[in-house]
Amino acid sequence: MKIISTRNLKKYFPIRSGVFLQISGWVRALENVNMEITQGETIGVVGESGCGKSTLGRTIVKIYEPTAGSITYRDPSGASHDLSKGIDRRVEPIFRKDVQMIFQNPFDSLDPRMTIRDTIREPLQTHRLLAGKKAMDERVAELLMKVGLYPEYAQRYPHEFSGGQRQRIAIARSISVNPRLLICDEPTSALDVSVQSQIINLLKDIQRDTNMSLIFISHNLDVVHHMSDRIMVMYLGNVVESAPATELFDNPAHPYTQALMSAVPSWNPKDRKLGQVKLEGEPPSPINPPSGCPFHPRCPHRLALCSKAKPEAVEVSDGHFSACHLHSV
Amino acid sequence: MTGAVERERILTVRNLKTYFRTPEGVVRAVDDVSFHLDRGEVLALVGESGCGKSVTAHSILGLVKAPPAKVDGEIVFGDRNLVGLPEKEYRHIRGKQISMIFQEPMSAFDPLYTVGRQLMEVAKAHMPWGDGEAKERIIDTLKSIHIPEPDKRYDEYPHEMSGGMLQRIMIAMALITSPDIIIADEPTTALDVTIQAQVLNLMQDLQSQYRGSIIFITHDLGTVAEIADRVHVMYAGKIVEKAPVAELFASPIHPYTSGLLTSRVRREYKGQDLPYIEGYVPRAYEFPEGCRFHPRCPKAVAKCSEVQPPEFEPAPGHTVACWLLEEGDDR
Amino acid sequence: MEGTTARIIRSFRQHKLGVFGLVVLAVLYLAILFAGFLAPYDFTQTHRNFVYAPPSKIRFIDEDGRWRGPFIRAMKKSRDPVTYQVVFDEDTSSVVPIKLFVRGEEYKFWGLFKTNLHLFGVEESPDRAMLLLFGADRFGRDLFSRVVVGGQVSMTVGLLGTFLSVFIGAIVGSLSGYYGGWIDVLIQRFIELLRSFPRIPLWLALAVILPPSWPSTWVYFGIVTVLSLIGWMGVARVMRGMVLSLREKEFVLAARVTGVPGMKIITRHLIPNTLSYLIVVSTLSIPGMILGESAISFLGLGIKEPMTSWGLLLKQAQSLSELESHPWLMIPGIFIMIAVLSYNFVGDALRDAVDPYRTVEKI
Repeated sequence: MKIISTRNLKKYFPIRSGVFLQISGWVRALENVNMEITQGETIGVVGESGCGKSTLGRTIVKIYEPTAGSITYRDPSGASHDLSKGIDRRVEPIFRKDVQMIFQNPFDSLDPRMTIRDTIREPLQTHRLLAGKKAMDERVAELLMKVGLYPEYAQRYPHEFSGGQRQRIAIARSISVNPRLLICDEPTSALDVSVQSQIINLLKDIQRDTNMSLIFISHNLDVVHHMSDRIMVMYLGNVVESAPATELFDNPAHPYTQALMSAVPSWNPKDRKLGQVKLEGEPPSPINPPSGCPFHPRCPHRLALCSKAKPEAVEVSDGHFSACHLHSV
Repeated sequence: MTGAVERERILTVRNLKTYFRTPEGVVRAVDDVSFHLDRGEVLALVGESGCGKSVTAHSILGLVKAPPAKVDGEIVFGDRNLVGLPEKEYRHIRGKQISMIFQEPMSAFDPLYTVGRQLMEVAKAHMPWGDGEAKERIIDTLKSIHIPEPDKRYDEYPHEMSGGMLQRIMIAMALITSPDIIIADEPTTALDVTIQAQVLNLMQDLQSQYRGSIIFITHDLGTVAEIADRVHVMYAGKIVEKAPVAELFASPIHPYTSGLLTSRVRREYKGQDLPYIEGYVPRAYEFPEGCRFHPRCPKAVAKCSEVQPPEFEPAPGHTVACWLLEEGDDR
Repeated sequence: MEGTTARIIRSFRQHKLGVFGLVVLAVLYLAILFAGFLAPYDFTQTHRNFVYAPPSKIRFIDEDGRWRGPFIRAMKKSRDPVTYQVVFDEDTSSVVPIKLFVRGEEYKFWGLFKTNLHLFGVEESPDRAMLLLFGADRFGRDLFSRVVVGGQVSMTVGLLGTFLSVFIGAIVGSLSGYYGGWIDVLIQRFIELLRSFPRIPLWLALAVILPPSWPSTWVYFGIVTVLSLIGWMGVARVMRGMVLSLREKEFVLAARVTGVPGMKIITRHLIPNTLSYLIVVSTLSIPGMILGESAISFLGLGIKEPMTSWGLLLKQAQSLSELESHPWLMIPGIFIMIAVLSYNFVGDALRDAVDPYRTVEKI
């Protein structure tokens, strides 16, 4: 069952200036993103900074209002709701309980003035899921144990914990209301290498237990590959390629995906590969994106056509879509 | 073009100890660290947050304020010991003979001045150049790192450039004075992979041109494999393993090093649990007694929690501080 | 690791001047809390024989060289035959001992009950001898008693005014910062408009509105309102800035994502996280309020007789000739300075303590 689907989702941020903050330009963070996520599935979103992957997560979870396009949410009873123009008052509590998010920076995502108990309790109180202090405390203890922490930690404050522990606490908070969809925005990139894998394993475990869906946003190709069933590669607000995880890594079709994969260090000093990376330049600014294909100024295979027309996504193999003119030439 | 293989030692650090006094207690951020650097090599200091790698770099550069901090031991550069060197003399070394590349290019530049002016400032502080010559040299340097339109970039402000561009300019700034040593503190961590590849390639090119040495500080073993000649792995203020890069990746000995290497997310692990190191990196003011890794170590024995292990040398140029190597006991 | 509060207290204590300021403030507030008891005389009572009397000399040893404990002499008023100026001569034969817990002029303690017990004083009739620590004014009222009572107004006007202005400022500022958009633009432009007025004329203009017929307590609250109507703007600006950066913090986003309502986010997350800054801002804005009240009263538009404040007391020292012949009338000014400096010291120390740049968390 689908939980969320988007059609031609766009998000432009206004650039304001002047005394009365008139709009003087737009940051085109998301361009025509189509995606859907079904129960129990993990969608990976990968790309470099500024590619719109975080904006996508935040738009889906309605921190940002979409500029155009639609977001359709299907609640647990099966009814569909259009979220692109605000949320209906009756749907909002259901949606806010059903879709949760964890963030990149564990030093930022917990209120430093609240105890761990209060932090984890907040969603429970907001949705009035449990009555009574005792039931609440038991639930907090249960959640802490579930994420691999001691229940006694409940009365402590965030500053007493390390990055990895804080990320566990953030996970406990987000799963406290049993969401069906968890959006993970770079959940491991601020963590120490030796702790990253613990968090990834924990997320996988929880997903196994609860059949929760994940949208896993990261710049780390290997981590996204490990977590995801399907992967979307984003560049300058566009989804340039999407495919099942293994297929994407075995047969990357879009030149950007290929470049991205070639730039990942090999971890093998006897086979250094960075000298072979042929990608030049840097991503252009989303304020003035290039015409035609967004990747064409850096693309080693560009054609004359590429600067004129934006390529449509083509299904290059079963379930594997890539938006590149090379596929149709 | 290989000349004599004679190695010229350019920096020797002996028993470096950098302690800080904090409200939570004394932080032994760098505790008895010794290593050396030869001309023309890239030495990587690898470790996670709080392992002391950046403090080591700051100590070498004389950027640790002592007091309140305490810096002990020897940092021999040329024929001088830099520990306790007065700030006035340090200024001639810092930026000229030893320069630094920082993690955040955005915050390393002053937003109020053009990039050119800031480069000029560094150049003129250390080199006997006039304005005209300095500008010429700077633009040459910018050209040498493949910056498009160097004349135009010279007059731009930091905010007009991307992070990758600024990082490359910072590298240029570090190179202007042809230093003997460049200390690069996580120079690619804030960059995207594709830009990281460009910056690493650039550093490698320049290093072979200038014959300078690089101390490359990072938490990312992937970049280490790409650029380093020798690797020192740090954990909780100590160097736990020193080895040539190929040997370290092929046969790591210290349990922490092998833990780090196996906790890399590999494609083959898909559908399985990832291997990981138990526990968390200890905080700087509560480093454990004995071997500092023992609470997380899968192979710890009783002795590990009591006595700090000395360095053993299982192979030439490969040292490991771990009790498992005592009495010829390998692995 | 210790908590934030503990850290702030510890680093505050390292700030010597701040601790000193805090001690001074504590003494001042203690003094005004027990003003009637501490003052040896009723602050409104006039004494014909002691008009413009200078501060009394406190002696310990009498004519014969005998130790008598602290005492003063009775005074005789006469006129200088040449200048016609009033001069006070000591009656060298008299010994009026200063005692603790003496019965003197009647006052109402905390407005609750009448008593005539004073902490110290002399048991002599105020016609013959008076213990005048700071001298007397032109009605022969004891300046020390007036300073102590006047402090009640001056020292609390700042506190109350700041409390009110921080309250208004915090709410307006967080609304402006959290909701942004048109609300923000409107509030910010309004603040800029108000702030572009010069401060003192604006105070005066607002103070003139207070009807002269009002009883002094109303005037007091009127002044507080006037001061805070202007003071909140600075707080609102600071608050807006902080909320603007906090709003993007991930813990606020996390609360939004779980559906916590906006008002609750402000009260549960935003305000508690700005509290320490608010305290600093408040402490640093109290001196301005104290000076503001003094200025208004000094210009005769604030507190009115029979109530008194430091600013009003200073009003008597307006002319140079008065100052020349009765320099002790400046003493209330010294108290304003002490209070303002102490608050500034405490504010600075607090700011340093709260300053996150000095925390050593990661090396």
